[in-house]
Amino acid sequence: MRKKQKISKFDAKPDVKIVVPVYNEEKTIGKLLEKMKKLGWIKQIICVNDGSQDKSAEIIKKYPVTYLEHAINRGLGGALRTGIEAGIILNAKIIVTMDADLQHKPEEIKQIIQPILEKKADVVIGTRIQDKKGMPLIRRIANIIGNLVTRVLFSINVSDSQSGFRAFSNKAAKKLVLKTNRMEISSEIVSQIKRQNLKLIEIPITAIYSNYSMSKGQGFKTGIKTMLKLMIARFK
Amino acid sequence: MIIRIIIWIFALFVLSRLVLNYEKKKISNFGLIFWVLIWLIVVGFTTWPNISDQVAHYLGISRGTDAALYLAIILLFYLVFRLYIRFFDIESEITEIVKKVAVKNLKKKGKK
Repeated sequence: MRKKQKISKFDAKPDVKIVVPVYNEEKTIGKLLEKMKKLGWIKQIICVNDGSQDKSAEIIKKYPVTYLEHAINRGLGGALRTGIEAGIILNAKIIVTMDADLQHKPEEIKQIIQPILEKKADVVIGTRIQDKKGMPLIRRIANIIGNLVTRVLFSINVSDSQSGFRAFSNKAAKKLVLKTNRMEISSEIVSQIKRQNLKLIEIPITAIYSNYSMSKGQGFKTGIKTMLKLMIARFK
Repeated sequence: MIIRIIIWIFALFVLSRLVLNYEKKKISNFGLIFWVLIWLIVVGFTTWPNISDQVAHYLGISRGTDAALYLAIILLFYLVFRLYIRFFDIESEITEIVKKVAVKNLKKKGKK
């Protein structure tokens, strides 16, 4: 019975806008857009080029996507803020954010948006923790620290606060008050879920870790900076 | 003795800059009072070192110079924190401008 309901919702092609922040992703962005095109049911993709200096812009423009550009690089947080704002302006029923480094599987967008379609959640986070097998040790440690910091600073417990694969209902997206610019946006989003009293569901996702996606993540130095900025965001 | 003269001259220079900036309305009433007080304390401690020793004893520190140093470090920490917050806000405001420019055309299309 439940399965039937799911199929009927996808037959109607839900109004989902996919936000992809892009910064120097010429190696992967084309492949990601190709994969999403093949899915056939995605209504709109919003690519936010965050001041890339490589051929990302050229590649994106070959696809039928909404292309937005930052005049200067503002970081992941800045690109997500723009993408979410664009989703709201375009009246998206659901806004999905995902990384451009092929770490996330576009096929799993269906699972991510399902709880929102069923009105069981306002926000869904795709968690990589439940399938720890492929996760490199350094990422696992970074995740534990990220979750701990988020828990201590914002009193909310999530299994993967740093995941970039998320879905927001229109109502939830409008309620988010985001001020950070870089990697700290992930924890800020989690803190906003709590502050705005939004219903959160975590869904297990498959994360693909390649050398490329690993090089794109935050290093130790960035991690410290992120922590400092989160503390300021919390106590200022 | 020479260091005392250097500090006096420097304090005079800072006070003159403070008044100048206050006249140009670059600093608030609070800012002027705060900084004038700080520099008067510096001049006072340099001119009458015994006072700083007495204050230090009162605070449980043996020497006046040490007390001045500790207070200076605390003050610097506070100022760095304030600067960092200001920097954080400016960064966020720049992103807001960049965001508004990026979605400007979308809004135009939406109105059509």
